[in-house]
Amino acid sequence: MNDWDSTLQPPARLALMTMLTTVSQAEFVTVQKRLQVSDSVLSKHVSALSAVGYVESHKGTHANRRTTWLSITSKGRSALSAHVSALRNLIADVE
Amino acid sequence: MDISPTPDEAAAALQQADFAGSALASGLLLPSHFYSSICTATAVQIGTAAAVLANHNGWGIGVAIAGVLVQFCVGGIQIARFRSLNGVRVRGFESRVVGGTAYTTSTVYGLALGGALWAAAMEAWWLVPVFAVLGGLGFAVGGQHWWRAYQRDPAGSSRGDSAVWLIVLYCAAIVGMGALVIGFR
Repeated sequence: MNDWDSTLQPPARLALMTMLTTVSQAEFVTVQKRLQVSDSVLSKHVSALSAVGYVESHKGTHANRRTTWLSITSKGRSALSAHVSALRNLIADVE
Repeated sequence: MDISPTPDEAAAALQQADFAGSALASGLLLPSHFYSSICTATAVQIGTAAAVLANHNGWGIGVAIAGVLVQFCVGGIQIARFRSLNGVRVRGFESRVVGGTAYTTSTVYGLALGGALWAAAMEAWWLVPVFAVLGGLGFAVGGQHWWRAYQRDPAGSSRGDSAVWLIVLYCAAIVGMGALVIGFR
Protein backbone atom coordinates (compact mmCIF):
# COMPACT_ATOMS: atom_id res chain seq x y z
CA MET A 1 0.00 0.00 0.00
CA ASN A 2 1.36 3.41 -1.04
CA ASP A 3 0.06 6.04 1.39
CA TRP A 4 2.06 8.84 -0.21
CA ASP A 5 0.90 12.34 0.53
CA SER A 6 -0.21 14.47 -2.42
CA THR A 7 0.63 17.67 -0.49
CA LEU A 8 4.26 16.57 -0.33
CA GLN A 9 4.46 15.36 -3.92
CA PRO A 10 6.13 18.46 -5.45
CA PRO A 11 9.90 17.85 -5.02
CA ALA A 12 10.45 21.39 -3.69
CA ARG A 13 7.97 20.78 -0.85
CA LEU A 14 9.63 17.49 0.05
CA ALA A 15 13.02 19.24 0.04
CA LEU A 16 11.64 22.12 2.15
CA MET A 17 10.16 19.74 4.72
CA THR A 18 13.35 17.64 4.87
CA MET A 19 15.39 20.81 5.31
CA LEU A 20 13.18 21.91 8.20
CA THR A 21 13.77 18.61 10.03
CA THR A 22 17.47 19.50 10.33
CA VAL A 23 16.86 22.77 12.22
CA SER A 24 14.32 24.07 14.72
CA GLN A 25 13.48 27.18 12.72
CA ALA A 26 14.76 28.60 9.46
CA GLU A 27 14.44 32.07 8.07
CA PHE A 28 12.39 32.36 4.87
CA VAL A 29 15.31 33.88 2.93
CA THR A 30 17.70 31.14 4.09
CA VAL A 31 15.33 28.45 2.83
CA GLN A 32 14.74 30.34 -0.40
CA LYS A 33 18.48 30.56 -1.12
CA ARG A 34 19.03 26.88 -0.36
CA LEU A 35 16.09 25.73 -2.51
CA GLN A 36 16.93 28.23 -5.25
CA VAL A 37 13.32 29.22 -5.83
CA SER A 38 11.67 32.63 -6.06
CA ASP A 39 9.87 34.44 -3.24
CA SER A 40 6.46 33.75 -4.71
CA VAL A 41 7.10 30.06 -5.39
CA LEU A 42 8.33 29.47 -1.84
CA SER A 43 5.39 31.46 -0.43
CA LYS A 44 2.96 29.22 -2.31
CA HIS A 45 4.62 26.05 -1.01
CA VAL A 46 4.66 27.42 2.55
CA SER A 47 0.99 28.41 2.31
CA ALA A 48 0.03 24.95 1.07
CA LEU A 49 2.01 23.24 3.84
CA SER A 50 0.68 25.63 6.50
CA ALA A 51 -2.90 25.03 5.35
CA VAL A 52 -2.61 21.33 6.23
CA GLY A 53 -0.71 22.03 9.46
CA TYR A 54 2.68 20.68 8.35
CA VAL A 55 4.58 23.95 8.69
CA GLU A 56 4.27 26.93 11.02
CA SER A 57 5.47 30.41 10.25
CA HIS A 58 5.85 33.45 12.43
CA LYS A 59 7.14 36.96 11.96
CA GLY A 60 10.39 37.96 13.60
CA THR A 61 13.51 39.98 12.99
CA HIS A 62 16.90 39.05 11.60
CA ALA A 63 19.80 41.51 11.26
CA ASN A 64 17.41 44.36 12.20
CA ARG A 65 14.90 43.61 9.46
CA ARG A 66 11.52 41.93 9.58
CA THR A 67 11.46 38.40 8.36
CA THR A 68 9.48 35.16 8.53
CA TRP A 69 10.67 32.11 10.43
CA LEU A 70 9.53 28.64 9.35
CA SER A 71 9.37 25.43 11.37
CA ILE A 72 8.00 21.95 10.84
CA THR A 73 5.19 20.75 13.12
CA SER A 74 4.95 17.30 14.73
CA LYS A 75 2.08 16.56 12.33
CA GLY A 76 4.41 17.56 9.49
CA ARG A 77 7.17 15.26 10.77
CA SER A 78 4.76 12.30 10.88
CA ALA A 79 3.44 13.06 7.40
CA LEU A 80 6.97 13.43 6.03
CA SER A 81 8.06 10.15 7.58
CA ALA A 82 5.04 8.31 6.14
CA HIS A 83 5.51 9.91 2.72
CA VAL A 84 9.22 9.06 2.56
CA SER A 85 8.45 5.45 3.56
CA ALA A 86 5.80 5.26 0.83
CA LEU A 87 8.27 6.58 -1.76
CA ARG A 88 10.93 4.11 -0.63
CA ASN A 89 8.41 1.27 -0.90
CA LEU A 90 7.50 2.43 -4.39
CA ILE A 91 11.17 2.33 -5.39
CA ALA A 92 11.75 -1.03 -3.66
CA ASP A 93 8.79 -2.60 -5.49
CA VAL A 94 10.50 -2.24 -8.86
CA GLU A 95 13.99 -3.29 -7.70
CA MET B 1 -7.37 12.79 -8.88
CA ASP B 2 -3.85 12.36 -7.53
CA ILE B 3 -1.29 10.81 -9.82
CA SER B 4 1.16 8.41 -8.21
CA PRO B 5 4.81 9.31 -8.83
CA THR B 6 6.87 6.89 -10.89
CA PRO B 7 9.76 5.10 -9.16
CA ASP B 8 12.22 7.33 -11.02
CA GLU B 9 10.39 10.49 -9.90
CA ALA B 10 10.27 9.17 -6.34
CA ALA B 11 14.01 8.41 -6.34
CA ALA B 12 14.85 11.85 -7.76
CA ALA B 13 12.61 13.63 -5.24
CA LEU B 14 14.15 11.73 -2.31
CA GLN B 15 17.66 12.44 -3.55
CA GLN B 16 16.92 16.15 -3.91
CA ALA B 17 15.33 16.27 -0.45
CA ASP B 18 18.23 14.44 1.22
CA PHE B 19 20.69 16.74 -0.48
CA ALA B 20 18.77 19.86 0.61
CA GLY B 21 18.68 18.71 4.25
CA SER B 22 22.32 17.73 4.49
CA ALA B 23 23.47 20.81 2.54
CA LEU B 24 21.73 23.14 4.99
CA ALA B 25 23.25 21.42 8.03
CA SER B 26 26.74 21.12 6.58
CA GLY B 27 26.68 24.77 5.51
CA LEU B 28 26.07 26.07 9.04
CA LEU B 29 28.93 28.01 10.60
CA LEU B 30 29.86 28.59 14.21
CA PRO B 31 30.48 32.22 15.23
CA SER B 32 34.14 33.24 15.49
CA HIS B 33 35.84 32.40 18.80
CA PHE B 34 32.83 30.30 19.75
CA TYR B 35 34.53 27.50 21.69
CA SER B 36 37.13 29.76 23.30
CA SER B 37 34.46 32.18 24.60
CA ILE B 38 32.25 29.37 25.93
CA CYS B 39 35.28 27.71 27.53
CA THR B 40 36.42 30.97 29.16
CA ALA B 41 32.94 31.91 30.42
CA THR B 42 32.47 28.46 31.96
CA ALA B 43 35.89 28.60 33.61
CA VAL B 44 35.05 32.05 35.02
CA GLN B 45 31.70 30.76 36.32
CA ILE B 46 33.27 27.74 38.05
CA GLY B 47 36.11 29.82 39.47
CA THR B 48 33.81 32.51 40.82
CA ALA B 49 31.41 29.91 42.28
CA ALA B 50 34.26 28.78 44.53
CA ALA B 51 34.52 32.35 45.86
CA VAL B 52 31.35 31.68 47.89
CA LEU B 53 33.44 29.48 50.16
CA ALA B 54 35.99 32.25 50.68
CA ASN B 55 33.34 34.73 51.81
CA HIS B 56 29.82 33.33 51.91
CA ASN B 57 28.16 36.36 53.49
CA GLY B 58 29.41 39.27 51.45
CA TRP B 59 31.39 39.70 48.28
CA GLY B 60 31.71 35.94 47.69
CA ILE B 61 28.04 35.64 46.76
CA GLY B 62 28.25 38.74 44.58
CA VAL B 63 31.27 37.35 42.72
CA ALA B 64 29.53 33.99 42.22
CA ILE B 65 26.39 35.69 40.84
CA ALA B 66 28.56 37.82 38.54
CA GLY B 67 30.17 34.60 37.24
CA VAL B 68 26.76 33.10 36.45
CA LEU B 69 25.73 36.31 34.67
CA VAL B 70 28.93 36.26 32.59
CA GLN B 71 28.16 32.71 31.44
CA PHE B 72 24.51 33.57 30.64
CA CYS B 73 25.52 36.69 28.72
CA VAL B 74 28.24 34.96 26.70
CA GLY B 75 25.86 32.06 25.93
CA GLY B 76 23.08 34.43 24.90
CA ILE B 77 25.37 36.46 22.67
CA GLN B 78 26.74 33.34 20.96
CA ILE B 79 23.22 31.99 20.32
CA ALA B 80 22.21 35.36 18.80
CA ARG B 81 25.37 35.41 16.65
CA PHE B 82 24.74 31.83 15.45
CA ARG B 83 21.16 32.74 14.48
CA SER B 84 22.25 35.92 12.74
CA LEU B 85 25.11 34.21 10.90
CA ASN B 86 23.09 31.25 9.60
CA GLY B 87 19.47 32.39 9.51
CA VAL B 88 18.41 29.32 11.46
CA ARG B 89 17.75 28.24 15.05
CA VAL B 90 18.89 24.82 16.24
CA ARG B 91 17.52 24.09 19.70
CA GLY B 92 19.85 21.11 20.14
CA PHE B 93 22.78 23.47 19.70
CA GLU B 94 21.32 26.01 22.12
CA SER B 95 20.57 23.58 24.93
CA ARG B 96 23.23 20.90 24.56
CA VAL B 97 26.22 23.00 23.48
CA VAL B 98 25.58 26.46 24.96
CA GLY B 99 23.36 25.28 27.85
CA GLY B 100 25.71 22.38 28.57
CA THR B 101 23.07 19.64 28.80
CA ALA B 102 24.95 17.20 26.55
CA TYR B 103 26.01 14.15 28.58
CA THR B 104 29.78 14.69 28.30
CA THR B 105 29.47 18.41 28.96
CA SER B 106 27.24 18.16 32.03
CA THR B 107 29.32 15.32 33.51
CA VAL B 108 32.65 17.13 33.13
CA TYR B 109 31.10 20.41 34.29
CA GLY B 110 29.63 18.79 37.43
CA LEU B 111 32.92 17.11 38.31
CA ALA B 112 34.91 20.31 37.71
CA LEU B 113 32.51 22.44 39.77
CA GLY B 114 32.55 19.89 42.60
CA GLY B 115 36.35 19.78 42.42
CA ALA B 116 36.65 23.59 42.51
CA LEU B 117 34.32 23.81 45.53
CA TRP B 118 36.22 21.01 47.28
CA ALA B 119 39.55 22.78 46.58
CA ALA B 120 38.14 26.04 47.97
CA ALA B 121 36.84 24.25 51.07
CA MET B 122 40.28 22.70 51.61
CA GLU B 123 41.80 26.17 51.04
CA ALA B 124 43.89 24.72 48.19
CA TRP B 125 43.19 27.87 46.16
CA TRP B 126 45.71 27.08 43.46
CA LEU B 127 43.55 24.07 42.49
CA VAL B 128 40.44 26.21 41.88
CA PRO B 129 41.65 27.65 38.53
CA VAL B 130 42.85 24.18 37.50
CA PHE B 131 39.35 22.73 38.00
CA ALA B 132 37.80 25.85 36.43
CA VAL B 133 39.90 25.47 33.26
CA LEU B 134 39.16 21.73 33.13
CA GLY B 135 35.43 22.51 33.36
CA GLY B 136 35.71 25.08 30.59
CA LEU B 137 37.62 22.67 28.37
CA GLY B 138 35.02 19.97 29.10
CA PHE B 139 32.29 22.35 27.95
CA ALA B 140 34.15 23.07 24.71
CA VAL B 141 35.01 19.41 23.99
CA GLY B 142 31.44 18.26 24.78
CA GLY B 143 30.17 20.95 22.41
CA GLN B 144 32.49 19.76 19.64
CA HIS B 145 31.27 16.17 20.11
CA TRP B 146 27.65 17.31 19.75
CA TRP B 147 28.46 19.41 16.68
CA ARG B 148 30.11 16.42 14.94
CA ALA B 149 27.11 14.22 15.83
CA TYR B 150 24.79 16.90 14.44
CA GLN B 151 26.71 17.06 11.17
CA ARG B 152 26.43 13.25 10.82
CA ASP B 153 22.69 13.15 11.64
CA PRO B 154 21.16 16.65 11.60
CA ALA B 155 17.53 15.52 11.70
CA GLY B 156 18.18 13.25 14.68
CA SER B 157 20.18 15.82 16.66
CA SER B 158 18.51 19.14 15.89
CA ARG B 159 15.87 18.94 18.63
CA GLY B 160 16.83 20.31 22.01
CA ASP B 161 15.73 19.48 25.52
CA SER B 162 12.22 20.46 26.57
CA ALA B 163 11.79 23.66 28.58
CA VAL B 164 10.46 21.66 31.54
CA TRP B 165 13.54 19.41 31.53
CA LEU B 166 15.85 22.45 31.36
CA ILE B 167 14.09 24.06 34.34
CA VAL B 168 14.37 20.79 36.33
CA LEU B 169 18.05 20.51 35.40
CA TYR B 170 18.94 24.09 36.35
CA CYS B 171 16.97 23.85 39.63
CA ALA B 172 18.79 20.60 40.44
CA ALA B 173 22.13 22.32 39.65
CA ILE B 174 21.31 25.25 41.96
CA VAL B 175 20.15 22.94 44.77
CA GLY B 176 23.21 20.69 44.28
CA MET B 177 25.57 23.65 44.37
CA GLY B 178 23.89 25.00 47.49
CA ALA B 179 24.18 21.59 49.18
CA LEU B 180 27.87 21.39 48.27
CA VAL B 181 28.52 24.87 49.64
CA ILE B 182 26.66 24.10 52.91
CA GLY B 183 28.44 20.74 53.18
CA PHE B 184 31.90 22.25 52.72
CA ARG B 185 31.36 25.13 55.19
